[in-house]
Amino acid sequence: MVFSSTLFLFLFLPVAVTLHLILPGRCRNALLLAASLFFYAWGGVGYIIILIVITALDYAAGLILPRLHSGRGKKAFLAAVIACNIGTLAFFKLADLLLGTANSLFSADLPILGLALPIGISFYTFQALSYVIDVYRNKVSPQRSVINFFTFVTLFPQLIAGPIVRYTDIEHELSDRAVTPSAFASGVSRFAIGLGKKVLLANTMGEIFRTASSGELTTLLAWCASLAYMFQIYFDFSGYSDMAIGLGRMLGFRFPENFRYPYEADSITDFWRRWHITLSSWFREYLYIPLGGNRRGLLRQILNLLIVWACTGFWHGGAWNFLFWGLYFFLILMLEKLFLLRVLEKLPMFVRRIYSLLLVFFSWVLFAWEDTEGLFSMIRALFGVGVPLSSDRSVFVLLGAASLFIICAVFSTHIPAALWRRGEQRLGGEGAHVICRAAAAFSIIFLSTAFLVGGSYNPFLYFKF
Amino acid sequence: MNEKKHDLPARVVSILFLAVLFAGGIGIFLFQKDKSEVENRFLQTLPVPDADSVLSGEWQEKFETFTSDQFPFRDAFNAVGVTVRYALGSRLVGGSVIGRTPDGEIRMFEEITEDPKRAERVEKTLASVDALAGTGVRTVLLAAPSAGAVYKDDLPAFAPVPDAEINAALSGSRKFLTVSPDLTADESLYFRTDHHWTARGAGLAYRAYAEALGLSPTETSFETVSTGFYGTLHSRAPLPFIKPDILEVPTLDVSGVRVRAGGGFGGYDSLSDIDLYSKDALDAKDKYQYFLGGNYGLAVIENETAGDGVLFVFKDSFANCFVPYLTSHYGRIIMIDPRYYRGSYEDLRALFLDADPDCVLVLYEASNLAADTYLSPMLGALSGE
Repeated sequence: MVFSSTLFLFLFLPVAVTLHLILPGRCRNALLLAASLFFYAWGGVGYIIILIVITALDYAAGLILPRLHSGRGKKAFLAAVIACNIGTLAFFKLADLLLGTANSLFSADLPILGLALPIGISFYTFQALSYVIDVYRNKVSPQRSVINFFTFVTLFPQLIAGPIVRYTDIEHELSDRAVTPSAFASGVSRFAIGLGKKVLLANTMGEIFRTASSGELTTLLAWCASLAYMFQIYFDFSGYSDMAIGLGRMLGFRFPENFRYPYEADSITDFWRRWHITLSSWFREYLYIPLGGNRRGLLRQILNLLIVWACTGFWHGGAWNFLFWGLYFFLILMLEKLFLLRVLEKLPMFVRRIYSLLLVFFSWVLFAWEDTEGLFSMIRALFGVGVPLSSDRSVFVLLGAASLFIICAVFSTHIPAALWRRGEQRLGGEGAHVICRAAAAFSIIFLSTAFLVGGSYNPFLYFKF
Repeated sequence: MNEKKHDLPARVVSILFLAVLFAGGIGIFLFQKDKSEVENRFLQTLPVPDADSVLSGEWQEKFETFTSDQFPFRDAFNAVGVTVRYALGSRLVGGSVIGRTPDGEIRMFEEITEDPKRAERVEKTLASVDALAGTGVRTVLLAAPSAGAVYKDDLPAFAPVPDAEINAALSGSRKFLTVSPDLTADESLYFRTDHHWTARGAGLAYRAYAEALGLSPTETSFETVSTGFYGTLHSRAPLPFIKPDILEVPTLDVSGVRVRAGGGFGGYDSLSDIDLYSKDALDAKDKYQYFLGGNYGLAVIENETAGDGVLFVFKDSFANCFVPYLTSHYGRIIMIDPRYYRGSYEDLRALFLDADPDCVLVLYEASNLAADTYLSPMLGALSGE
């Protein structure tokens, strides 16, 4: 089930949230668990088994780990649990990629499995693993309640598209949480903002991307298509995170923030502190630092970064372009670490921003095209090689998209939020703020509903994550 | 106590939020409709689950469609969505290109998609018409220009103009006779909310056809049968505040005309009587179906007062509004719509030889002809390839 559907918005959400509000505290997690499993099973009954098995494994591991004596045995046990988790993930992501590549390299005829990636597996595996590793490190005490642990892993707001919530983030709220009216109301606003980002901006950009990238390419169309994709992926992903955070608040949880105006970054290093924050901090905490981080000399640090970025690439999808996408960032981050950041610091801010935006722009081109043919023809078109500069159709597409591009550009910055806050300061008390925010939220929900029921383009981007 | 008071606005907002969502959710189940008049399509009603459909996910998919199809005030919401897109500058909504007439009225066009294979397909189709003409039967091609080619100036700025491929292909020399009506006279020749031509547009094409074949065209005036026609282009982009189209018919004497139609499987015997003008369509959304009541694989139009000329027509829906003009010139008109014809090619060949037509007319809208893949194999079978 996706958030941006009439089914979720008008049936699942009100029923689940209302039941959660009126049920006594001790039944709440059981309700959330049941609701989450229903939410997950809606799209396909089959893959729920994988979700349950992995969660059960990590639950058991959490109970067993503290009983083992520190040392080799405990380490081996942890390694085995991690291998099971990552192995499942890697199998679904990479099996077909490797088989297909082997077939084309050695002209072999290995059968392709044709497995669909279980939705959300990249997210829930990482969440559950963070728990197991933290238990191993004695950072948290194991969760004894099956219901609480399963609720943590399957919690429907963040189950299929993040943010990646670590056990430590919501450990306390899992057993004891209150939903205050003001938290709920702030959740409503946050959810509405996310819904608007997804339905009004991301979907519209997706449609422009689709129109602009189909048919005869021109340089103008290639730039339109790539720009539309750049906006689509940001508003889709950050919109989904906003909806998850908002839903979390309605249920009494505080999920970590996932985006901080990434297109305002002044370097790629900065970009990755603002984009999908819970993923990069997960990799730092559970991969980069255990590998030794920057504590074992420059060469080792470079190697560690290489490993982290190769993994980040494949985390996003089982195709070679995602690996290249990860390595592209590895390369830039390396250069920034070695000398580029020092150079950038001396440049004016707008140059730094343009530098980051351009590099991010090309990273999304790499990200968008899984087939090399599509990728190369797009890159050629972007640089005007072998295609006309423009055509009537290109100008037509641009004219239809222009005002939306401007809206997306404005909403990629902190300016609308800052203006809103300034407006609120002029208004009276807290009560007036709540009412204004609610009015905005209801308007966005109304307009999003108008876009949704008309059956306009509403893709689901996370099937490959 | 104090805190409660402080919380009041937030409490109200929370309750209102849930109440609004519940109202929408409950509304889905009330007042179910099985058809959308505005969009001219069937809607998904509440699907009944069974073990198989739930396990395969088919039921869930239908249920999701149900929740958006039966959403309360769906048409109004849809109109809001379309209006916002249009206001933000989008001139391509739901596959309809939205332009304006010189008078400031909205005129909608079919979207012209990029299709690198189009030129090749046009050539193949025209070659099959040519091959039929090569067998000795008099063959006429009438490609009705697409609305976007007629009203270029009404298209939104920089929108692609259709029909380039077919116009280029028709400039070569062919064995068949090409009728190219000039339809640039005024704004009333095509509907503004539908991709079809009007009876006036078809009337001008009829004059050009009669001239080319040496027939003397019947003079007609027009009679309005409906003033509230919103066509299929409007169904896809239901902008509010649009002036409806007017549906007119030519004043022809069709009292001696008999029409039989069907899918074509089983030949003439399987056909049933229909009306040349279907009054029922005037109560429905797609009022263009007034002409012949829609498309049939095989239709036979006979007029006992029109002599014994026989015309064989291969056509799309543009012919439905055109053939009434021909009923006074041919005693028998046999119409094949290749997209809907259900008989075999052998049956068709037998039918064709038996009819022994004086003339074959291929009548399509130009962009439809350029997209068609049914006609060329059918004509190929007829000309014995």
